[in-house]
Amino acid sequence: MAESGAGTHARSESTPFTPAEPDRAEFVDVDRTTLRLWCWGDPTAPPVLLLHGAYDHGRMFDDFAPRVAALGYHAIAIDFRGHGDSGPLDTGFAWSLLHLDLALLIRDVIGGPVGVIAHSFGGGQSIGLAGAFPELVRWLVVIDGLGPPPIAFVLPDDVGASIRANASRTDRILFDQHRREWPSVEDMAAYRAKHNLRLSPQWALHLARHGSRRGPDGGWVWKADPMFGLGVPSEFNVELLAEEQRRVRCPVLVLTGTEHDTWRDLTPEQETERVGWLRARHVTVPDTGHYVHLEDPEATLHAVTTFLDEVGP
Amino acid sequence: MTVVLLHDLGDPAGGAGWRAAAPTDWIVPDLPGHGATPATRTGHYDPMSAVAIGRWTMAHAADERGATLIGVGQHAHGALVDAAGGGCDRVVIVDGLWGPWRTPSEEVDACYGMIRAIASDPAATAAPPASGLDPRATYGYGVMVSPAFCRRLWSAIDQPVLVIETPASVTPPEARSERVSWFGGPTTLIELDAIDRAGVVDAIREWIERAG
Repeated sequence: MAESGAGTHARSESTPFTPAEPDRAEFVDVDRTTLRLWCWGDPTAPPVLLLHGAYDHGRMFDDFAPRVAALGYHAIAIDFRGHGDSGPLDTGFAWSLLHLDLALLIRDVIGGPVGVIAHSFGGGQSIGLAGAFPELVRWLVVIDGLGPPPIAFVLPDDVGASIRANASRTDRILFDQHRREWPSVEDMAAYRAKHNLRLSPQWALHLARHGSRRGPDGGWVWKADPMFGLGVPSEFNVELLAEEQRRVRCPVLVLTGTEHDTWRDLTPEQETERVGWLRARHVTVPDTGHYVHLEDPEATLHAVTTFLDEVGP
Repeated sequence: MTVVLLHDLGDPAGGAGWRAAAPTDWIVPDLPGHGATPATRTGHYDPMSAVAIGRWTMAHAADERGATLIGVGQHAHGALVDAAGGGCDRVVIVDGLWGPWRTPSEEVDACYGMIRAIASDPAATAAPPASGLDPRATYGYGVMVSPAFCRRLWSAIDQPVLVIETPASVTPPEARSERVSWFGGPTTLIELDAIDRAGVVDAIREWIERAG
């Protein structure tokens, strides 16, 4: 797919929006928690796991998963622990815990190796999963999920103030049970659209509708566990990220957009370097931002199909 | 004077071993998944729970003479994080200066090795026991650190720090002095020649008394 020379306008009005209810929805007990699965297609077909990004949920694949199922796969979108309808978190220090959730889901529930299509934070998770449990992953498609830019790994100038702020938020959540309530799902969608400028209004509403539930005071709260954003500081840096990405041995396709967008922080040089660590094929989808598969599902599916024609199911 | 001690993660005795050695007015909880305290609600372990428990305990018990937080082994990191945020007036770490520094490759090996080991241990992924040591808690936190990270974090601690090293420490003896020099406030290093909780407690009591 050629590099885009298109303009920077949002696709809000032209983006296809054809979500389909999952064929099946279930809860499974895995790794001492409960995970929500959303499934499309023949359960006996080769399984493909679809992983969402941070603060999102599996229903973001309501459009793309049926397309994957139509290729002859069993498409299984999950809600990560701490997201959607799945179990809670004690902390945001859960990076490797979520790898373990995925590994046990694949090994003990799905029953064999899977292909993975993963967006953003889910892309990082898929890379960790494939590195730590190579026997469980056949191939990866990573959609704008190559990790944060180097600046994101730097400790804040005032470490003490940062820890105090973190502790204060933690105490509010743990001891005051504080959750912001929104008057309506439409307000939540508007907030979402404000921060994800390239999301169409329909997608913002869809993601808000499935990402929220009633709060105790009659309003609406996000399903995403507020503890997800909190944790005790530890080291993570570009060298560790590179090491994780170099561990992946299965075929990898990286999909990125061409447009500036929230969460699209890497320079082209940084993207190229990380694609190299993964030894991945790299396709840019013109006129898309961070949500490549939502903004242009047909082009995304074409890239995935071409990749699978090369590497097999 | 409030003194709160966070025992090591995976200590088979939970807090009981330290309670037997410590003055009765020290607060030594069984942390989640140890002793009489059930596992966390998710059955997963991370330093955050211990830090929150320590902070909550000190906030509810502290008096005008201030609070001392003690972190043993893997809970030294949590205690130091709390101290860097100003959560205590003095901090003590026991065998908490970390081991030999790892390369990025060794860090990833350790992390992946840990989660693969948990995945192969049915007791660590089955429902946790109602009391006693949760097998999952014996696998460690998997926290990644580096010299640069520790230097930044520890330099933000300007309260008095007591560093106790015992023969059980994984810190190379020749590295201890340099690491102790990274703290931002007055720091005392005591190297004990026996693994003895009573000896550790005595050293801490004397240090607190000297500090006034």
